[in-house]
Amino acid sequence: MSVTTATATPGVARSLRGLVVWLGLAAVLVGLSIAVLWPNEADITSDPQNGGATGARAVAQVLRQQGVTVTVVHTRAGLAAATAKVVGDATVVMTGSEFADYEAGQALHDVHQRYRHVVLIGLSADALEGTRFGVYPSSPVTQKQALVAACQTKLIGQTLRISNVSRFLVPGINGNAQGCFPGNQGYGLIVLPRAESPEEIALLAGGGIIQNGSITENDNATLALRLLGRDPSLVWYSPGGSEADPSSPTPSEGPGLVPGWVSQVALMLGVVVVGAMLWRGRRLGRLVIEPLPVVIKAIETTQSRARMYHRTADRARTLAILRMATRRRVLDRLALPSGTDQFELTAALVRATGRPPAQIDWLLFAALTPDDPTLVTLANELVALEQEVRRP
Amino acid sequence: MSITGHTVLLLALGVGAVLWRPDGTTVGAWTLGVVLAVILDAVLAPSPRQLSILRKPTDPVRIDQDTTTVLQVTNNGRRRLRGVLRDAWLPSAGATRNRHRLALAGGDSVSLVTPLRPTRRGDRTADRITVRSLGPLGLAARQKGFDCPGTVRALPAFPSRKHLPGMLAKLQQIEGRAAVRTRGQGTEFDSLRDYVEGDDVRSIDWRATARRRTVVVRTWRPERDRRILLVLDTSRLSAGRVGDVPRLDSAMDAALLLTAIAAKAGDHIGFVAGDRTVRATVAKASRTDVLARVSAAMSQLDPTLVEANWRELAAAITAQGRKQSLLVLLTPLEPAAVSETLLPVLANLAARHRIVIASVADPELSAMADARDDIVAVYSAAAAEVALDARRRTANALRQLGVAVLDEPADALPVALADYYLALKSRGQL
Repeated sequence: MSVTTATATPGVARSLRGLVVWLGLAAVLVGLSIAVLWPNEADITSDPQNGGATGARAVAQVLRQQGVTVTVVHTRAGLAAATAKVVGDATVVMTGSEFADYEAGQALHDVHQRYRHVVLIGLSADALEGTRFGVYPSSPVTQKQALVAACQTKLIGQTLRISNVSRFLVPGINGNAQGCFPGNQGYGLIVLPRAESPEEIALLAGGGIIQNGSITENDNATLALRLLGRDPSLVWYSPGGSEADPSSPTPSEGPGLVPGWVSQVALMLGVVVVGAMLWRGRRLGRLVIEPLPVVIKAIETTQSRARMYHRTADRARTLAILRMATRRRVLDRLALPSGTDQFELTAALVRATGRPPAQIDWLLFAALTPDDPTLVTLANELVALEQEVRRP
Repeated sequence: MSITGHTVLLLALGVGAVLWRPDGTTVGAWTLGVVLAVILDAVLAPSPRQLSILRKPTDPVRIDQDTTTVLQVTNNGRRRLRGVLRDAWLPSAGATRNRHRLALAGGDSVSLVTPLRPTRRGDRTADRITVRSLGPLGLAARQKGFDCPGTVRALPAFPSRKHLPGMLAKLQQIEGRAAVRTRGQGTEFDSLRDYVEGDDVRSIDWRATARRRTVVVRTWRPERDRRILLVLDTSRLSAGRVGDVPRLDSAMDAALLLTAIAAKAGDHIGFVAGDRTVRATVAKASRTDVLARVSAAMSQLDPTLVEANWRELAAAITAQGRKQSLLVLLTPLEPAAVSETLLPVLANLAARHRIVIASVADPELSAMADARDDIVAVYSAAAAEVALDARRRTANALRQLGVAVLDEPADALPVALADYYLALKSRGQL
């Protein structure tokens, strides 16, 4: 054997690939943390700045081109500020997103009297409750067909059709509510008259009519523009911004609730755990495989034969085997030839052990085994006899 | 690439930063910073490729004996390389402390010693050497594998070596006794020496006495230069484990003890191992190197799950010489296999050679036959009695062919075989 030299394992491409994987992992990690930490308007459902299929940028752009001043707000504070700036006739629209909760609905309720027109589109049950207009959503449905207006107001023609909705609105005990686009569980649109203003509040069940992906279906665009384009200025409240406002402590951080830093620390600890996994999970070289030879326990065949005997429970044969073995050993011990017959063997054993001949004959030749305990007793008797012969 | 515990520690410090400024951006910024530092560190780490590694050969050892393997690691680059090196071996090579810290300045060289303690027979090979080179910040490391072949040959354990001094003493006794008293058949003339009181008068060489003034006696010694052939069966039966040791290993132990004694006694030893085909042969070995050669041949053998082809092995036996003084067959006494494959060949071989069959008995079988505590034990006892009886019958059938049979437990077999050999030797029957 001679001195051997190490050669680096080939794999520039592999290590390069490894680097790419690592960089990718890091990028994903950073991206994830950013995505979680900066609520991104671009991802909010029915948001006028969201260009995706569920966003509503198209309708907002069309409104702007038509000369409507669109003010987009994401927070309750922003809504209050925008309301304060409103001069003349204005419309407020609140679109339902993942972030539209009870407080968001309340915020709208607080300001809606300042606007000539109020439109609510695709709000969740929580947000609807917060608005206190007495309208509730139905349970989700699968409505495949387009809805036909089937009502007559200033706004909506009898034959207007909008695309399917995922649920309906049900008017509460408010008797003046007028429902349009009826379905099997409620209405696609509910119009509420107002005491302080001649114009109604319009509540739309689904956000689909203003979303980029479905605005071109049926008469969605017509209805959307009619609802939102009635006044020269439009305040678009799309809840989803960070409500952190030093001047007004948000109600969610009241006493007894989890402080805000806990989730941040948990996130940081999560990053630490991922780091620890990467640290401990990287092996220093591959696992080495040991080729093992086949080795079998030698006694196993005999043991399985014993189990077979047990299963068949052939007591007579078992006893015969044990007797034969004892006779053979006793013959060896007494130096008798293997052809010795029953009577000579019995006689020799009587001389050697002093036991009565009948007992020896019974033990070695005559006894039967009707059950298991008898067999065990006889087997032990045979061993005892052998030992007596061995040590007379 | 890999990261170190320092990176995790640094990430953990981020918790403090988050507590100080509990804002969503803190977590992201901290993580991003650490990731960038890690990437930078990995890029700055010196490449492990600048190392060259040499492995020095390792001498064969017996199983469970300590040895070492030495790596000569040289840093061919200019930059200092810090890190870890892992010298990976098969688990059965017993390389326990195989991770070495590296701190090599440019051009420096270091010898890394990994202790080895093989636990299984055969050539235990080294796997890859892995080097992890730390970056200057200690946050990340570059990792690289090197193929650096290495082997340590693990010879059979030979636990019966402890009997060797006793056996050699017996051998000397035989030789001494033969020189003084025995003048039996088959002894050979050794030398002439002066008569001392107590010598057998029958050994006086009168012709030599007549030429000299003193009485001269002839001395005798046991025959030397007998040919002994060990045949090791590596078939499926040898794969059976008795206690914790496979039958093959116990048989090797017995063969090695006999080899050591016979070599000292001046006999020639041949070795054949095989199952369906011949796996190993040692022929024409000198007395001094026969033990090493037989050990080396054995180290490569593993049981195979096939039936032994005794015709093939008989041909190999004949190829080792037409007449052997003693043919030792190390094969388990398994009734079915013996009667079907060995017996037909054995009749032929027995006509030409003196044969002894050494078989590893299973003490568990006898214990099973004696235990009769409950009904399960009684059925087991019956099964064991059947097996024992079959072995006994097989042994008897073999003895009728003039073959000696040694059926002993693993620890007693080497001694039994050596005693048998010495008995033949002392009687001059080889």
